[in-house]
Amino acid sequence: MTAVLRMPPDEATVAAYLSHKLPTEQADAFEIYCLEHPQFARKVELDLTFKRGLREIGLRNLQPGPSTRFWPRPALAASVAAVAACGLLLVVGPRWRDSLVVYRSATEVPSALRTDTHFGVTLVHLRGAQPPHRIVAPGRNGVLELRLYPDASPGRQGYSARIAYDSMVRSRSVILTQLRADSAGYIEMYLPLSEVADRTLKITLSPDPDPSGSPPPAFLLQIVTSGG
Amino acid sequence: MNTDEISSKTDDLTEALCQRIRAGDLHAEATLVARLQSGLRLVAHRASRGDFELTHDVCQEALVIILQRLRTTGLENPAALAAFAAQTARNLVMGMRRKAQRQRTGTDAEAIESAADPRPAAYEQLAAGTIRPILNRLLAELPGDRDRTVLVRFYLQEDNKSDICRDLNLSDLGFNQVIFRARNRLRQLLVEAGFQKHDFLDWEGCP
Repeated sequence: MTAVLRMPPDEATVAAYLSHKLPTEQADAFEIYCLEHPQFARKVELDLTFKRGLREIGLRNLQPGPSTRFWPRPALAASVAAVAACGLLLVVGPRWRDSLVVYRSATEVPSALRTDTHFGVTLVHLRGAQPPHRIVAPGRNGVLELRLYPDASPGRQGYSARIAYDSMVRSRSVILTQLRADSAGYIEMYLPLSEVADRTLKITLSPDPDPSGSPPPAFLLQIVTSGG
Repeated sequence: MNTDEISSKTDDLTEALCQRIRAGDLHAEATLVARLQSGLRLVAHRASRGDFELTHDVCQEALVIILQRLRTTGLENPAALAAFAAQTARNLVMGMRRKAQRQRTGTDAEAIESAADPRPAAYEQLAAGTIRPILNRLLAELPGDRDRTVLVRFYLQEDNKSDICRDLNLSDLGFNQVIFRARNRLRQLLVEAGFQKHDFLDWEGCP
């Protein structure tokens, strides 16, 4: 016999239902409530549409709004800045993994990740060929805060970043647009260690159109865990 | 009116609808379909573990079964229509799964899987193609990065509301307003894109 809900389920219950975290009996009761209350059911469907749609877009492609709290409004040129093509590395990872997720600000990092290890690395781009920066992570949990100094011309602020990474099948990449350097000139991004450990990444920063036409700064990173 | 009174009124409405359907009232059938559609899709979506194609088929099939039953023998307890509808949808999902399993040949399933086209099914591509521009537009219209962060963390990363509010220094009310605004705007954009209000999950039906 399915339990009966007398009150509309709250946001937390809706979220738990959509994440398949409600126990079966509660989920059954939730569905009966939806069948008896079509307007509520449509609201739940909208939330499901939202969830699915965001997944379709992919976190990495989500654009900030026109005015931002963490990243100020970029110049129009920045929004159309082409990401320079860059060579990819094909150091094959140990197994197939889903696409890489990169966060643009600390507030975007899920709380579950934030409670684990958090360690930061600052890299400065040096002119000329560079060997990979080998980063030894303390483990596979937590988040790597990366601060990159692009060795850019003074006054240059808007960037796109292409993060190429290896896979068993083909080279893949993530593109972050409308990145802004902080007051010290650094660009920051956050990478879950579970996804970047034992991977090699190449991060290419493409500034807003550069009148000098100089090649975009690139960083080659090899991330290994202290255990392996 | 308290919750018991509301519940009793809903039961009365359902009973009246069932009686009208039994008497051959086509408007009553349309009303019932509109009432049950969203809920049935949610039931089928969970039972099929997120299979949108199966959800669509099960919803249609369940409505046919429910209407046939109401036109003929009716329900012993019309107030239990929601439970009957839910169980019908769940049974249909199980039945369709079993049927699909019976139709399997002895071919090595793993070999088929590895040879299968890794691209999403056509209906998924269609759905994605429809929803992406709508959501991109909605996200671009957000008044600030904070709203975007709230939506991404709540809907995509499934973070707790309390964690999000704490991290972003948002009140409970502020959080609800962000979600409410976004939900309403999404509804508006979906309707503008040709979806009917009862079709939000039924992306295949979109022009």
